[in-house]
Amino acid sequence: MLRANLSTRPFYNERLVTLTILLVAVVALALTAYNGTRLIALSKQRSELKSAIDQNESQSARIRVEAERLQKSIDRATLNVVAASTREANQLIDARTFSWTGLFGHLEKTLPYDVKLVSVNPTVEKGTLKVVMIVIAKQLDDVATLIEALNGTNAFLDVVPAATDLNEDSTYIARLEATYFSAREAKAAAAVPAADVKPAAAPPAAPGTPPRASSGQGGSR
Amino acid sequence: MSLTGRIFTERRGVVLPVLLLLAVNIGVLLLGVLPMQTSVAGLETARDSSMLTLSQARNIERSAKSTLTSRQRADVELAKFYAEILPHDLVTATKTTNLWIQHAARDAGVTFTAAAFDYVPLRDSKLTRAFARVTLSGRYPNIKKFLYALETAEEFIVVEKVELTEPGGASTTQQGILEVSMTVATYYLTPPGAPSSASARTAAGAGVTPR
Repeated sequence: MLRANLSTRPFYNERLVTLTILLVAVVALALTAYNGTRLIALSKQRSELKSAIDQNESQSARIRVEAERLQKSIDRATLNVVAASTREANQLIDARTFSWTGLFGHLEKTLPYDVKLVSVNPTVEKGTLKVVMIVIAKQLDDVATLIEALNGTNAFLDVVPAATDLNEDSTYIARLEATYFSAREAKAAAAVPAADVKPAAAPPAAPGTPPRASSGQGGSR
Repeated sequence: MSLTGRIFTERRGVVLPVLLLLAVNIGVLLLGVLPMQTSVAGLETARDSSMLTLSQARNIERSAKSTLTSRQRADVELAKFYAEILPHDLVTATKTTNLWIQHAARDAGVTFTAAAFDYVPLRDSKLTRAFARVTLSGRYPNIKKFLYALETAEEFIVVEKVELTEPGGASTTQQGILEVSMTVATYYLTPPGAPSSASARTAAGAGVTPR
């Protein structure tokens, strides 16, 4: 059996070769199109980005110059003085709008019978209204009852007996400190006293009962 | 000659331009398109950075403008507060803390017992605090009425402290009468070159006003 091809120009699959060349040509053309479009798009994008960067940089430089000019026009020392004055004015307004009748309204409702109120002193500390009350009670339990009652209201928070001392007459004098935060309720209550304070009012029941005052033995602080 | 060589030789006219075109395109892709893509990505980062810088600059400008506006508004409000809300001077402040309170006490049915007036320029402040320690006596409803009058007054009066006492050995007619000591204060703009508290007190002769 003959195995060798004795033809000087043997046949080959021409269709396959043509197809391969055609395929390579298509790939080359596609790559050309891709490169062309990408180059155009990237060039455009690059010029747009450069333009945007230039614009942003010039704008920020202009704004910074303007901001510096504004900041220089503000005298820091004067600004601090104005800020301090504003804080002070706000504190004064807070103190002015404090409702004593509202506070007394709350105390009327909470003061036990055997506890006498000696002094009340509200102060504003870091934006919080602190109330210091000096009370005289026959028993320490009465002070505890008062603290519980005050804590039970919506107006007082963290009522603490800062100091308690025994008087010569066997009564107790206690200094209570509390955060008083019911400015709105107090204002609402302040609208009531006109009715509350009618001179001819009969001795009222619990809500209208005045806080009992001390008989002078513990009034000084 | 191999079959590949023969095919190349026979079809050189087509194969060569196609291969050349392919090679050129690969070259353009590697040397042109890809580096440009990297460059554009870098520019995008630079643009984002420049936008951030711009945004920061705008914030600084906004903050400066806001500070300036706030300061101007605070100046106006403070001037209004000092001129229209607070007493103008010591005389007005004295009237507020003494005379007005006496009238309010009378209207509320409370007896004005005594008052001690003083004033002191506040430290690190433009204001002077004019204050009086006032002692009153009356029934609780009247005292509350008096406090309500102080709260609703047009005058700028701050009740700083209230002390209540029941006078010892009260007679039958005095039962239910409370003695109230309160510190009331008002504030006014310290005039330029005003004397210090101590010397001012001496000059003005301020002191206890028993009733």
